[in-house]
Amino acid sequence: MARIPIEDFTAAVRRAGLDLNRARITELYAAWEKVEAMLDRIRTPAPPRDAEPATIFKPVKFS
Amino acid sequence: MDEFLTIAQAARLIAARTISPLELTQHCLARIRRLDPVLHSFITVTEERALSDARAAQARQMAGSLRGPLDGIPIAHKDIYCTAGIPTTAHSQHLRGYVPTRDAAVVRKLAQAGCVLMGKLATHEFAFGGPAFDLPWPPARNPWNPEHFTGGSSSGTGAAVAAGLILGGTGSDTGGSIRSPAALCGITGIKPTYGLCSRAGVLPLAFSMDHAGPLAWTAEDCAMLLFAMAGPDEADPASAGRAAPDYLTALNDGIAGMRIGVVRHFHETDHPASAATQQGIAQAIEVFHALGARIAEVRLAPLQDYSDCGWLILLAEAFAVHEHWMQSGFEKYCAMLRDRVALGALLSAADYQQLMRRRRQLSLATAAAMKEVDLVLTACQPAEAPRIDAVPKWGILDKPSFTVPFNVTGQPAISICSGFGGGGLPVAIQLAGKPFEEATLLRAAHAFEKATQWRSRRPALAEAGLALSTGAKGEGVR
Repeated sequence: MARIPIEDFTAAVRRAGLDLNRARITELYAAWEKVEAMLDRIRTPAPPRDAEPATIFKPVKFS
Repeated sequence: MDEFLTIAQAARLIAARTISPLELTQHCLARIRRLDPVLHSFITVTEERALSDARAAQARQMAGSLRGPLDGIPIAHKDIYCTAGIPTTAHSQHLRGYVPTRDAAVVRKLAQAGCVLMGKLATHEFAFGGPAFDLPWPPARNPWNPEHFTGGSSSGTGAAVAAGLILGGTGSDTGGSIRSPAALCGITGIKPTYGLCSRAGVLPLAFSMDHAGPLAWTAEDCAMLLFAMAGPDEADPASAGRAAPDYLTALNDGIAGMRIGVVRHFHETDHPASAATQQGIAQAIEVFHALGARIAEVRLAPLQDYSDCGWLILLAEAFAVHEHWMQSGFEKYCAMLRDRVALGALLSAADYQQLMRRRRQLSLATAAAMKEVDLVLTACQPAEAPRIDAVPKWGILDKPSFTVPFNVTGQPAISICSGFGGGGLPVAIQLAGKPFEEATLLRAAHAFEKATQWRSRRPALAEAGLALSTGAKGEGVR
C-alpha cells in the first residue's frame, strides 16, 4: 500500500484538476505505490546539493 | 515484381528503369488492400496522393532526374506526424477530424527526397496509450501472428514494414517506441541521438525525451531514411544543429577493430531476458567477434535506475502536455493512456528537478563507462511479443525497460532482428552508440544483417495471404 493515505491521495488528484470516480482512484492509488518506490530510488543516494539538472536553462539559445 | 523489396533494392531497380515508382506503389496498395484488414496498420491510406507522388517520381525517372535513392519509394508516417491536408489523429478521439495545414519538418524532408506518401499509420494513443481496444481505431496487429502485440508505440509502422505494405516509415521514440515495434515485428529501427531529427510538427509525448526516427526492413534502408530525415531545424528547440553525414558512405567498411561492450547485467540479472533473446545475444557476440570486433564487458548503472528516471520524467512531461484534456475530456482517452498519464499529475516540481539531476548523473556515468568502447550491446525487449490482449497497463512500472536508458541519455540506439523464439515470433538485440555516432551503429547493424540469415525470412501471413478472417476497420481507403 502507498505511504500517502488514500484521503490525501484523493485530494491530490482533485487538486490536479482530475475528476475521477472512486474505482479509478483506487486503481491509481494501487499504482502510486510503485511510483513512490521509484521516487525513493531516484532520491537515494541524495545528489550533492549543487548537482545541476540535465536540462539547465541556457540563455545563449535565446540571444 | 518480387513480393518484397528493400528500399535499397527498389532504388537500384528504379534507377535502372527495371521497375517504375507507379508499379511499386500499386504493388504496395494492393498489399494494403489484401492484408491491412487483418493488420490494422493504417489509420488513413492516401491512395490518390500516393498515385500522384508515384507519377511525379516516374516522370523524373523517365527524364533521368531522380532526386536520389528515395525517389519513388513508398513510405508512410506514424499518425503523430502532422501532414498538410491529411488527417492526423494520434490514434485519439481527441484529434478525430483534425487536419493540419502544415507538414512536420521530417514529412517535408522525405517528400522533398521523392518518397511516395502511402498514408498515416496506427500508433498507441498519443504515442503512449496502447495497445487499446477503446479507441476509434483498432490497434495494429503483429504480422508474424496477428494475435500478438506489435510493440509500440510506432505499432503501425512496425507491422506495415514487416508485412511489406510499405518499404519504410517514420516512428517516434520516447521510451522505446521505435525500437520496441522494430524488435517485436522483426525489422530494424533506429532512435537517433536526441536533437538529430527535427520534431517540429510531431505531436509531443515528453519534450525532453521525444526522438523522431525511421523503421525499415534493414539497417541499410534505415541509413537511407535517416540521412534524409536528419539535420538542423530552427523550428525544433531541441535541434542539435548538426548536419547528418551520408551514412551509406562507410556502411560496407566492416567492423574490424570496432570495440563492442556487452552490458551483460542488463539482460542477465537486472531483467533476465528469455532464453531465445539471450541465445540471440550470444550468437550476435559470436558474429561480431568473427567479423573482427573486439568484445568486452561493460557495466552501467542498474537498469532499474534508468527506468525509474525515464518513466517518471515521461509521466511528468506527458501530463504537462495533456493537462487540459485530462481535466476536460478524461473519458475520451483510452484507459491505458489516461490512467498512466494521471500519475504524472501527482509528481511535484521537486520530484521533476530530482529526476533531471539524476538524469545528468546517469548520462555522465554512462559516457564514462563507454569510454573504452564504440558501442554497447544488450537486449531490446525481454522476449518475443506477448499476446495483444495480455499487455499490462502497469507493466512499465513493474519491470525495468531495456530501451529507456538511451532515451534518458539521448544516445543513438538501434534494434535488429537476432532470431526467433519458441512461438515463432522475432527476438532482437539492441546496440547503442555514442552521441551522433549513428554511422557506427548502422555499420555494425548492417554487418550483422549481412552475416546472418534473419533478413531473408518474412512473416508467413505476408507471404501466403490472409491467415485469419478479416475484421471491420475504423476508416476506409481514401
